[in-house]
Amino acid sequence: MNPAKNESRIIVDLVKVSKTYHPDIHAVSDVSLSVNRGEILFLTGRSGAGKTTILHLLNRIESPDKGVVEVAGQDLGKLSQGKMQKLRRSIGVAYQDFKLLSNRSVAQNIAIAMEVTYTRPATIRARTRDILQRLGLEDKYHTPTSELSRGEQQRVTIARAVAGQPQLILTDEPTGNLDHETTVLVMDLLNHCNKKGATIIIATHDESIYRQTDHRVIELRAGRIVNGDPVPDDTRRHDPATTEETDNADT
Amino acid sequence: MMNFISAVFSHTFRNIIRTWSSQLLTVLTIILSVLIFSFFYLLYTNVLHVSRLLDNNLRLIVYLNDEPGKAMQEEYRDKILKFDSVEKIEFVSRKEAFKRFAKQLKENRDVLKDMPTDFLPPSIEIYPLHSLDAMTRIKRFSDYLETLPGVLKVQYGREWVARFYSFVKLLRIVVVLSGVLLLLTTTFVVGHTIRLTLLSRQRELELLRLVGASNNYIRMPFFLEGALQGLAGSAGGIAALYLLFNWISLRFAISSTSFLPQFTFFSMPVIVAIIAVTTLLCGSGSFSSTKKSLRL
Ligand SMILES: Nc1ncnc2c1ncn2[C@@H]1O[C@H](COP(=O)(O)OP(=O)(O)OP(=O)(O)O)[C@@H](O)[C@H]1O
Ligand SMILES: [Mg+2]
Repeated sequence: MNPAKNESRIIVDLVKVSKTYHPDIHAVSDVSLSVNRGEILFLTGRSGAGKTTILHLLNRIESPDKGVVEVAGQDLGKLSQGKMQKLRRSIGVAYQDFKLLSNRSVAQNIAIAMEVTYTRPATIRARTRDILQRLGLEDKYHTPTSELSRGEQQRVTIARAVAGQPQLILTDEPTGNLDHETTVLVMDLLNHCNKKGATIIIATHDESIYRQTDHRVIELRAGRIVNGDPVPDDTRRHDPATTEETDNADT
Repeated sequence: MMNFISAVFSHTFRNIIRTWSSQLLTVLTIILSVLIFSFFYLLYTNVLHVSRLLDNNLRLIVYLNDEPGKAMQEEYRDKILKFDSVEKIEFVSRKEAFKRFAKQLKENRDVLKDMPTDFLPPSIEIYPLHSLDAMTRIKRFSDYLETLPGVLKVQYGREWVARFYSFVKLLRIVVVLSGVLLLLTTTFVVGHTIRLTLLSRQRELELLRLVGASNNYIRMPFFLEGALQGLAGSAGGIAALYLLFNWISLRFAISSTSFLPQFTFFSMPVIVAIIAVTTLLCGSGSFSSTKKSLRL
């Protein structure tokens, strides 16, 4: 394989990655997985299968015990702190525990991800309004996140993940607390980001969002891949037309 | 770069507004310690100024029976230098003494009209080295000089000059101590409040790390916060001292102008230096206290 080509096409590369939690919970065992730029990838599996752990490994929230994790061509195990920080600025994350600041407004929470890249305040406000509208939260702009329902908090978390226009978006259970219609809003937003070039990894056990999809679906069980193709099918690379179709299929 | 600065400033101000009560407490503490330090320092500089005026009182005057000749003068000089090195030795003849006295009397010099010009004894004026511990030796020096042949009497700065010099010495220690106090408050108190805000903002810092905020992005607001506290505190402290100074000057102006030299406040460069150093100390105190807490 040509490394240059590799770097340009593959954005996420896990090579024989294992993560064991104390005392001996094998959260992830010997997982190899590659994701192309512009893909949407579904990580599925029962509760405790290791989905969240993989997303944590991709952002170096956790480090693997064995194996190599590469994001955007960079080995996270060898990345300096400063470089990792820079990389994180191009990764949008929406984790299960939201990590919202409860005493701040919805807009302020979303702004944080853009402020670290020194986005102009006017741009921040415009993007925030646009995203909130797409998620049906336009009237919550000034509301403190502590006053939101869980479903609303979840959407704010997703809004924050996509607001900085990152190259990679990691969402964990993005539709866990949402009704069908709101789920559609969230998936439309993620597809919109994907069309604009973002690679998206969605960890979920909500079958409704991946049942009819054209995108790759990886199933984990007890930390191992048991279903799905761990390497991207290069004949089905990102292509706007295909994505459009998927959009419709999903909705 | 512009964006970085504006981001840092907006973070800092947001934070200061959010925790204004503990900010106020910190600033008050800094005001107090700057006030204490600069009060003693001001006192010290003024006292030092006064002490320079008192240098004349430090000289030893050795009155002689007879006017010494050239050879005799050399002999005296040798004997004096054998005891201690001195700043200056000056021989004052009878005539010279008379001239000085007349000058001192100014318009009243008429009273000397009928006096013989040699009624004052000749003397040697010895100026010890300008050092504070000269005072402790001066008594022994004087005892020694009295044993020299032809010496009538030795006179030197009175007791209070000695006390004054030990006061200056003490004051110097107090200045150093209050400087240390200032150093401790700035680094510890500022560091402590910053650690408290750090604790209360743990979630925010965790989030900032998650979205890839750089170390400087996270830490600069803390540096700025500390520096602003230092700026406000030291400016406040100097302002408070200035008020105190004016009040004291007014109180003593009526009774003392003639006999005590005028007190002066710090010059502008000294004021700027005190404020700048305090600001920097507080800033770096706060900056370094974030280091551990942020696991950087
Ligand atoms: N910080 C941790 N310390 C110890 N064990 C952990 C930790 N995080 C996860 N685990 C364990 O690792 C395994 C995988 O957890 P993970 O969170 O990845 O599952 P998941 O697939 O995301 O589940 P869910 O669908 O419930 O979110 C579980 O058995 C879990 O108990
Ligand atoms: Mg999970």
